[in-house]
Amino acid sequence: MVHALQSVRKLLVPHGIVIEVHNLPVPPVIEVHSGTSIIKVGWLLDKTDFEVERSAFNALFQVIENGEYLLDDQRDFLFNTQVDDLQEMQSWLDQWWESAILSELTNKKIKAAMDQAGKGSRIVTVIPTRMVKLRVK
Amino acid sequence: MTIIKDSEGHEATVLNAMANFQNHRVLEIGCGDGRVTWRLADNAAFVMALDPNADDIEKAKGNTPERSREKVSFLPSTLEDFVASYTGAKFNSAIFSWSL
Repeated sequence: MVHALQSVRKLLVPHGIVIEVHNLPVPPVIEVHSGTSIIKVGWLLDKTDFEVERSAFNALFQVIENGEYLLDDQRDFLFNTQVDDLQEMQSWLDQWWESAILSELTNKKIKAAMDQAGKGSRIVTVIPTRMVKLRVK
Repeated sequence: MTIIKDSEGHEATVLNAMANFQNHRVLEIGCGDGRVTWRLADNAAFVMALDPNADDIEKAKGNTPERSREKVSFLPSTLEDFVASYTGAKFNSAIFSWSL
């Protein structure tokens, strides 16, 4: 990750910027939405305990400590991903988040919440996310 | 089947607040299906979008809005390979969107 930041620096103009986006290393909340109603059902865990996310932060820290970049800005926000049902959620996780763990209990709670919420309900994964802006030093 | 990423638009809001890509040459590393690429292309002069997954690149190309097509170039490549072979003009900004 440090190498990627160092490599890309060679392609940037003087004082060029890098925007980096990664999840914060905490479990996202899973909610079931229906109209204005929101049922919070549990969390999405990670087999590696968010190792990739921690490594991304460490790489950013390292290139700033090395004096290769300046930290220009940082903002945290919630990145929501909406799906229609559990099958679609599993397909999204298989493609984008292989290390995610959706526990059997959370799975059952999602089903129950969707039954309770009725037709048109959606599963929303609320992912705490960080955007960092670096500037070439 | 509809997966909606950034359904509240928070990523777009924060990105716009943090950086102005007006007339920038932008390098996007890990463009996936192009979700962020098109947004960048609205302001940038040019976007070079890389992703090692050729299927994603094809999907991104196919889904690119007409207004962005002339400003975006999609390339199936890793960053490492791109850096090793690229000889063009330097970029004003680079984006790693969940791809560092």
